[in-house]
This record gives sequence, C-alpha cells and structure tokens, in this order.
Amino acid sequence: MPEAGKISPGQLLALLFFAVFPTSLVFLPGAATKIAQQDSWLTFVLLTLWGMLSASLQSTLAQRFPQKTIIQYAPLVLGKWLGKLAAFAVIFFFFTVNLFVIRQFAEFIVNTFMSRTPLAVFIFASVVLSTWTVFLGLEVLARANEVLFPLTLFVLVFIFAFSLPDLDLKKLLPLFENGPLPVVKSTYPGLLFFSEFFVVNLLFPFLNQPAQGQKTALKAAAWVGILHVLSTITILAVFGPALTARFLCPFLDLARYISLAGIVERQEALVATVWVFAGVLKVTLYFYSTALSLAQLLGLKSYHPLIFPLAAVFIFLPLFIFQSIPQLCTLLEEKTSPLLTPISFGLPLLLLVAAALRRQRE
Amino acid sequence: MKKTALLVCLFTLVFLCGCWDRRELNEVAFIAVAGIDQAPAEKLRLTGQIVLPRQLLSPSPAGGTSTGGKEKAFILATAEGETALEANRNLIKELGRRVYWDHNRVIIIGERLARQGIAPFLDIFVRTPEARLRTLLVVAKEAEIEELLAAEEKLDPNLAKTLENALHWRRASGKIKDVDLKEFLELMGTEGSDPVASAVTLQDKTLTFAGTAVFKKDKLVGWLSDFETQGFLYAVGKKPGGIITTSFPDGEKVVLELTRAKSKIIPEMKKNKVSFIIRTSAEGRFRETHGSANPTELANWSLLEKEMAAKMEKQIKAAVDKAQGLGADIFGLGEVLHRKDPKAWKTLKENWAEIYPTVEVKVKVTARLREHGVLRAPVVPR
Repeated sequence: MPEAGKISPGQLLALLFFAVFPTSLVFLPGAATKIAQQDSWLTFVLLTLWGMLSASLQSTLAQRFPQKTIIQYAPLVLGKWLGKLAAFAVIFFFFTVNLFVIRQFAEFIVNTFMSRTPLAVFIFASVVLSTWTVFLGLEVLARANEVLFPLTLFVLVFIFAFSLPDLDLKKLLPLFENGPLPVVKSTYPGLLFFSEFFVVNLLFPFLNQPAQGQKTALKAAAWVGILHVLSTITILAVFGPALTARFLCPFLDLARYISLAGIVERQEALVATVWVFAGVLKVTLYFYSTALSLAQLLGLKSYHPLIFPLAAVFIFLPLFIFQSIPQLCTLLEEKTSPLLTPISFGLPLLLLVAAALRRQRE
Repeated sequence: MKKTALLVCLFTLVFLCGCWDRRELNEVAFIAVAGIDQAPAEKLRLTGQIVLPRQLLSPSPAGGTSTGGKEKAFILATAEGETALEANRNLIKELGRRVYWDHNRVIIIGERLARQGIAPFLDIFVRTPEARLRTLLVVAKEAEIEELLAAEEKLDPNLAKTLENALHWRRASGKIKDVDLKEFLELMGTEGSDPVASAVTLQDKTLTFAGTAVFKKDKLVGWLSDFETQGFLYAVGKKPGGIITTSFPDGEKVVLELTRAKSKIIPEMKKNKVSFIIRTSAEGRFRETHGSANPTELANWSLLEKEMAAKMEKQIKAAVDKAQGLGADIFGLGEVLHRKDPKAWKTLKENWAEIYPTVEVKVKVTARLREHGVLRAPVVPR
C-alpha cells in the first residue's frame, strides 16, 4: 500500500474536523442567512443532522472493509469496471473540492486582508506548503491537525466570549416567519460541505483502533455542526439578519467588531491566523487524498511520483478556471452541491447497499 | 551538497523579506476623523483630521504651556470628488500620501448630505476591508464640517478622542446616544425601524454634542432635543443613565439620578389596530435638594419615586411624539411587532409609513429610589 502510516482516533477527529470546517464557516453563514434570514441558525441544526447522517453512513461503509480504502473495495463490490468508474468519481471529488478550497483560501485573504497582493501568491504558497506535507505522509499531516485543532477551538470560544456584550438574542425572532421551507432550502449549499466527511472512507484503514472509527466520525460531525450553530447564533444576535445576509464573510466581521473596554479590539488577526493554517490543512488533506487515491487506482507502489504533477495542476487550475469571486460564490451556492454530493453521499450509499445485498464484509 | 543547500537558503531569503501589502508609517497618512458633506456642482467634499504621529509621541500632547500655542496633533485635509472614494484618492494630490482608514474612529456627516440620504455614501465605508463597523457616526447640526473639525480641542489631542471619551461617560451625561456604523446600517436595513445618530454642533468654537439626529431610513428628517434624547434613551438605550430634575409638590427643586432602567415595548393588536405600550422600570438615587423637605421620610420618598416616574414618562412621551411627527420609527415599533406577531406585521408593513405616525403609544414608568448619599436630612439655614 502506498501509505504505511497509522493515525489515532484523536487525529482522525481533527482530520475530519478540518476536512469540513474552515471553508464552510467562512462561506455558509452568509449564504444561509440570505435565504433563511433570522432562522439561518436552524439551517445549521438541520445540517448538523445531515452531517451526522453522512458521517455514520461513511463510517458504516468503511467498517465493512477496515483494511481497504474506498478505491480498493469499490471494485470488489461493484465489479471491476463499475468499480474503476466509482474510483474515478472519488478522485474527481477530491480533486474538484480541492480546486475550490484553494481558490477560496486565496480569495479570502485577498479580499479581506491583503488586497494588493496577487491571488497567485497565496495559491502558490498554500500548494507549496501542502506539497511538502503530502510528501512527508499522512502521519505528519495528522499530527499537524491534532496540534491545531485545540487552538482553533480556543480562538472560536474566545470570539464567542468577547461577542457576548454585543449579543441581542431578540434578533433571532420571529421563528419560522415564512414557514420552515426557507430553512430547508437554505441548507442546499451546505449539503456538500457537510458530506465532506467522505474522506473517512480513505483514511479508515490507517486508523490504529478501527473500533473507534464510527464514534470518531460522529464526534467530528457533531463538533463541526455545533460550532456552526453557535457561530451563526452569535453572528445573528450581533448583526441581525439584514446585515448578516450582506456580508461576504460574517464570521470575520464578528471578530472585527469585538471591542472590550477599548483594550481587546480587532480580533480579525486571530481569524486570519486560524484561516491560514486551517485552510492549508484542508488543502493538504484533499491534495493527499487525491494523490493517494490516484496512486491506488493506478496500482502504484508509492504516490510520490504523482505529487509534483498534481501540485502544478493545483496551482494553475484554480487560477484559471475561476474568474471572479461572485462566480466562485455562485458556483458554491448553486452548482457544487448537485455535482459533488452524489459522489460524497450517493456513492457510499450505493456501495453500502450493494455490499449488504451481496453480504460482503471483511 | 551542503553548498547547494546553503545557496538555496540564501536564495530563499530574497523572497522572505517582507509583506506585499506592507505600508510604512512614512508612506501613508492616518485619518482619525472623517467628515463628508455636499460641495457645489454635485460633488462631495471629504475633510479629514490626519494624525501627526510625531505630535502624539511627544510627552504631553495636550498639556504644556508653550508660548506660541500648543502644536496640533493633526492637520486638516480637504478634497472634493464625485464620490467619497474619488475625494479620498484626491487627497493624495494634496498630501502626497495615501490615506489609511484603519484608524478612522468617527465619521461626521454634513447636514445637507444627511438630508439628501446617505446610503449611497456609506457603501464604501463598509465595503473596504480597512474600515470598521465600530466607527462612530455623528451628524453635524447647523455647522460646517470644516469648522467642526477645526474646532478648538480642549483636553484631548484630537477630536476622535474627545468624542470617544464623551461616549465613555454617556451614562453620566444621559444625553448622548452612541451610534456606530453597524447599528446605523442594521436599523436602516431592517423593515420597521429607522436609525438615529448623535448630533454635534459648534458652540463658542468648540465642538459639542447636541441631541440626536433622526433619520427616516437614510435621510435626515429632524432632531431630538436633549430633553427628548433622554426620553429616547430611557426607552431604547443600552444602560441609560443621567440626571432627572423634578420637584416636590410645593415646588422645591430636587435632582435624582437614574442608575438603572429596563424597558420593554409591547405591541397589542385589537381588531387590526395596533397599539404599543412602553414599559420602563427604573432605579435611581436621590442626588440633590434645594429645599427643606426631608426626602428620607418615607412619605416624601415614595412621592419622589412617583415624580421621577412622571418626569421620565413625560420625556419618553416627548420623544415618541417627536418621532411620530417626523414619521421616523426610531423606537423600532414595526420591528417589535414583526418579532412578536409576524402575521400581523405582514398585513401592516405595506402601509406602515402611514400607520406609524398615528399609532397609539402608551408609556408606563415605575421608578424606585434606592440611595440618597451621606446626608440624612437636607442642610438648611435656621
């Protein structure tokens, strides 16, 4: 197998957390509020359930084949050619998600902090950094995630705590003003983000305690979901739905708005810090997943020969296939969910049903 | 091998030497207070207090008794343009530096511009990543921006500091409403509420707060006096305070201080007709008497509590009447109804502009006095 490393359940938790969290927190609260108004925190309650469902589906499937990645067991379940097709879809998923993540990462920095620096600089920097990490293997990436996970939690709690003086929970009323429909509708862009726990299908065989796998995946989904709900409640209670829906990235504005006795001010630097490492972690994870799954599909002994070509693609494609930030946002709001959720949710469901019918298990 | 590694390291240094977006202190100008108003020929005039870091560093910027008058800690710069952004960039022509908005604390809007509507001009102050939603928003009342910004500073090295300090003491003053960009934009962007901003004016060459500017959405429509501002703050202010002058029935003047107040606005629907009750419960402190009646006698004490409630009711009512007269829903009555009874709001919101001025608003205040200072009986000559 191209990867010999082992990871602990704690590391898997962090990996799965960062597989979803960074880009979704930046993008989703604003997008959901646009549709659901003051009910958008309920959107994330729904999405939490969706995330837990997705995580439990993925891990149930992975547990059937604890020694194999999805690329390896798909042909066993679906037959050689269909299996290869499924493996190809999986690679397409990791690859496409990564294109979006890389561009989002760079766009965020350029639009909020460093407007005079070219986008290419951040794309280049993030991909180069992740190339090095992918080169070093899964264990290194897992340890980086493990270290930065508590730090991220700390920053979030810090921002919640210092937003308390500006909180006005009345702004969350009235509940279900236009019925539950807008809330359901506004989960649409989030469907993809909250099914990105899909990577567990690739990481599961490297877990040193496979028995803990499912619990860990569910835990990760719960963490991600609850933090989104809390963030959105805080954002809404500070800014109200009218302003929140107008912000590019409401969470950043929340951090910027913090002011405590004129001493604790402008905490956006904290958000920027978390964004930079969390963004790079997500890029690295999807880079790694693309490389590993491609190597397994091609039957290579090591994924190392694939790293540099992939890095070149990851630098150039995000620069050229996206033209502008409104285009990127529209794609994320309308197109990515129908394109990629069938792979991240539909495919595992299909595999699980097929494996159950054929009573396959390892 | 080692040599190559060393060379690579050295080569890397070239790219590690700094940040693309760096801005050196001597290349930019920090604006601390920005004023915008209309200029002739459909142009906007942007006037800014540009900080002189040198002066801020000197040991006692505002103090000292130098004979030639103290040196100012800022300079004024003015530029015109068709938009605020153009005016801002035109400042470069005059200053030779780009103006940096990160440290802008206050935006003063000229009265002419405010009456016209300020939404088109606020966009840039929120869109640019440098700007902050904590920036204070004030309106110049009966004064030109240039005069206001050139006003004599009394204690602080610049105007931004003075305004911020005044806001720090707003509870003691009781007559200042602090409004930042976020609050203004939020209320402006919400159906069923209208924003306000603090008004400032020029008095004997000094800038001073002068009540509250009332907006209808983004257009200035009138002013609340100090008296009405107090009433407004009792009802919707965050932690209101301030002193309340009233009297015993025999006409002896007494002064009470408001220490705590909590208000609730309750909508009531009756046969498709909406009315509101503003319920305020206040706590206060006895501060001063000009007469001989002893406030600590319980009969007097409860009499004073009633007087306090009555005065507060009068002030809140005055603010409500003024706001309804101006057609500006600054108490957010529409939004209160929206939150409490969204169905009723849906039927009323189309015509809210016509309904609001005629809506019945009742005011009910209950007041409790808790302390009276270290005198048990007033000091009186015998």
